[in-house]
Amino acid sequence: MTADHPGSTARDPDGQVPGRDHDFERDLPGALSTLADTFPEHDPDVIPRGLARGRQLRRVRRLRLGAAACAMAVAVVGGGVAIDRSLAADRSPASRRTLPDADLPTGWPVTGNQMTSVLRSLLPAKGKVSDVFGTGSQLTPREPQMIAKNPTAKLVYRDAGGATGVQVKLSRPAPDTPDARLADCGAVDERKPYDECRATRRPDGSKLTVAKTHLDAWGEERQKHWRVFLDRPDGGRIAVDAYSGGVRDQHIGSDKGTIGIREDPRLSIENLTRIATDARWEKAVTALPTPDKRVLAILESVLPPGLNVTAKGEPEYGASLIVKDARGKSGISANVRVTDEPLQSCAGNPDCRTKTLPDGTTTFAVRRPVGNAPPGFVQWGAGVRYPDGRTVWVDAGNSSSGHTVMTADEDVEGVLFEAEVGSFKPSRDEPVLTLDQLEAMAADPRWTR
Amino acid sequence: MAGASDAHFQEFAATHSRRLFRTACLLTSGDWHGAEDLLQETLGKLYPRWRRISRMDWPFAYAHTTLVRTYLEQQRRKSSTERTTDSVPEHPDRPMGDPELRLTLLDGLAALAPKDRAVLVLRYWEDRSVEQTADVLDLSEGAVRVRAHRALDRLRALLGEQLAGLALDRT
Repeated sequence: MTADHPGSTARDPDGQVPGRDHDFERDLPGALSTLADTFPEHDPDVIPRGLARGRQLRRVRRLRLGAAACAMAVAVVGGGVAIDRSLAADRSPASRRTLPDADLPTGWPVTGNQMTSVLRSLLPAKGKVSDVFGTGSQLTPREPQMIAKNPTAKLVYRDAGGATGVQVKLSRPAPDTPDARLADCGAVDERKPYDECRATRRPDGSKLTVAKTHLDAWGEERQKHWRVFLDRPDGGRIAVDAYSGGVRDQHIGSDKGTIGIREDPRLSIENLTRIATDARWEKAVTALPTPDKRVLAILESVLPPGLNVTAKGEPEYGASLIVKDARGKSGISANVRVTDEPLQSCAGNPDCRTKTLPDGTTTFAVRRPVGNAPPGFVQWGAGVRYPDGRTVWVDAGNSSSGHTVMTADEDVEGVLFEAEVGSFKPSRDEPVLTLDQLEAMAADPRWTR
Repeated sequence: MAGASDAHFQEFAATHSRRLFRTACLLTSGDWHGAEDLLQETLGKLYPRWRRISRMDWPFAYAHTTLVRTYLEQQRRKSSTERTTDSVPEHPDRPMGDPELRLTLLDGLAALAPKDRAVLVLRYWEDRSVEQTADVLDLSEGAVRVRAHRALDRLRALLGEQLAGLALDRT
């Protein structure tokens, strides 16, 4: 961003900028950066979904290449038929109602195939499904539950009356977060509250939320978007979304001509409710880690006593806190990964120490300035990499708005967002934690339980 | 793709997705869902070519260009129905640096033609030169200047002196 280029000058679209216009252009990069700082984090599932989409594209490309090769051999073999069938696999009628046990989620981990199998089995028999893809609870088989991803299933359902995009997502929203407030009809985007919403308590203690909203995809044209959430008493959630005409994903097709603007989704609220409340999701939701077993809760539990946590958040793979003591605010973050890559090197860092224990565990600790931040920003961090690849990293900065820590949103209490350093000032001279404390936190056995 | 390459791609995505998402949010004028879709599609396009991209000097720059071009592709597909306003909405003066002003800036971006918005995002958010912007958008340098002028005029009419308030929020 422009903050990364402090030496850059104001841009002039044609090289001649009068004073007032020059001021506007000078201010625009900073204004855009300020605006961008208010954007929320993207859904962590976007990455696995992008990966799934990439694999789908690669498969189609390979099949097309194969089809081209077959076409060369033409007609002799009729190989194109097999390829067409393969390409059309996702467009085959859904296997409804019955489902082999092997396709049902039984616990951790939940796979994308299980998710799509269950969703397909719950759709009305009269329609067809296409554009199916699902994501599971792990990006790689080694990932621990504490960094579980939210499993999803996504497809397009078509019957004689048109198409509907359907998405199911399983999660365990952390309490008192915007995500959790969806169960009380709180819309994610405060600029666009739901058109209709009602939440009802069910006899088993769960809460069913039914909301109708819309997407402003084409100016004043609206794509209807219906949502049904089942929030279980144990904190698990099954969220079902239906989009009239289809899902807005580019690869599924979102041209106005192909989706039914202003039409209702082809699945009724009753259909969606049946999907959300079906027992087949039960074990999959139960398998997801409760908030107290995720990185954020563990980070809070390993904090030294006496710190006042003023804000917290859950970025991808980790967690962030803003804590405050008598000397000011400090950002603390932690993340957990499973990787074969070696831990960081002390090369080029004079204030750094690393060692390898007899069992192969490596530790690393460093005090250094923050990447591309202005002078005065420091960040101290400590990491432990275990022989199985699990790597725990904890760091603390002397700012509540540093480059690699989170900053509190001044407008919404308790909400965090990541911020570029820009020209923020450090909030204190040193981070709130010492290097020894960070090392002890990173090595805490609670990360490996 | 080999497992190691897969892991490398995921690492790349995890490292850069936040910045790509922010650009996507600006391009979609704050439509988070649309921005997530755009990011997802961009990652999907990068993945099959990752082996080649990962050997480039600046894989992120390639990813960013892919994001912007994907956005414009999406816009082209619905260009026959999307209406870009010729005039910016009237807003009373608002206190500087407040959330409303941020929304006004988002409104201003939303009122621009998609390609004009992309020009502004590349020039003033990504700090790309006119030449680089022209290359990414497949435009002439002159066209980039014209579009930048037009977009700035509209934003200036909407925000005027208030923009400084947002910029000052960073000091």
